[in-house]
Amino acid sequence: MGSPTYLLLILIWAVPIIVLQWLLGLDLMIRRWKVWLPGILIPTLYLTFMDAIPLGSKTWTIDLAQSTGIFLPFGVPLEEGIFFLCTNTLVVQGMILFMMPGVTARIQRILRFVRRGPNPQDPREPANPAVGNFGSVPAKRGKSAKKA
Amino acid sequence: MSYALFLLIFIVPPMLLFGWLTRRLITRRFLLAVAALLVLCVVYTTPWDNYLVATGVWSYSKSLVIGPTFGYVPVEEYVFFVLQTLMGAFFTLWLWRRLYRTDWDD
Repeated sequence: MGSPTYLLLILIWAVPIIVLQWLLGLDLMIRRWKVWLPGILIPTLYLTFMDAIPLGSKTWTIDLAQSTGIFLPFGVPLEEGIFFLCTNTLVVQGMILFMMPGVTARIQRILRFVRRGPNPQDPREPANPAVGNFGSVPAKRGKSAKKA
Repeated sequence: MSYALFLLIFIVPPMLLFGWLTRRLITRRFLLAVAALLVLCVVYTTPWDNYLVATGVWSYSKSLVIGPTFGYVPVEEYVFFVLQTLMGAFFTLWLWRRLYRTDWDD
């Protein structure tokens, strides 16, 4: 039975930042899904399976005592696949957030919210349909409405 | 296979290929985005990767690296972070242009 050490180290390192990126613009990533998904998956598959070569020549080694012992095809440890999935996710999502119109305005809005609290009637806020309605809670229809 | 040769054969060519394919799309904003990503990536990954090597989770063959290390980590590993980030950024830009034309900020 393997050890989850390496897997947990990867997840603890990467997942908080990935979630932060989602909070900032998961909607933008979904709107650009043809960049988001292949942009992550194609380099991940490439790097994961190329990893078999340096692993095979012992250029680098994953400690068996600190990894799950689960292997992907070509003898690549599961952790290496998860690692490349995480790093490519961070890079592609970072690029989408940096390049997408409206993200700068969204970050400014969040900073203003953090400093001063919600102010939906801020007259300096330009109407920008690309930005969405960050910071305000959309009215939901559903269970709570039925109860009332 | 030495670490440097691995980078040269498997990481540099795709990075250069997508860099070349997107050479006319490189804007000031793209360069700023890549620079920011590179700084964040190196700053955030360095302590973590040093921990991995220090605790032996990840180890490398001393005879297959050039020699210099920063902390516990061989210099090639830092080059890998940078090349992988560049490759990812160019590939993202290439996909974006092909699939959505240019709708990023300039």
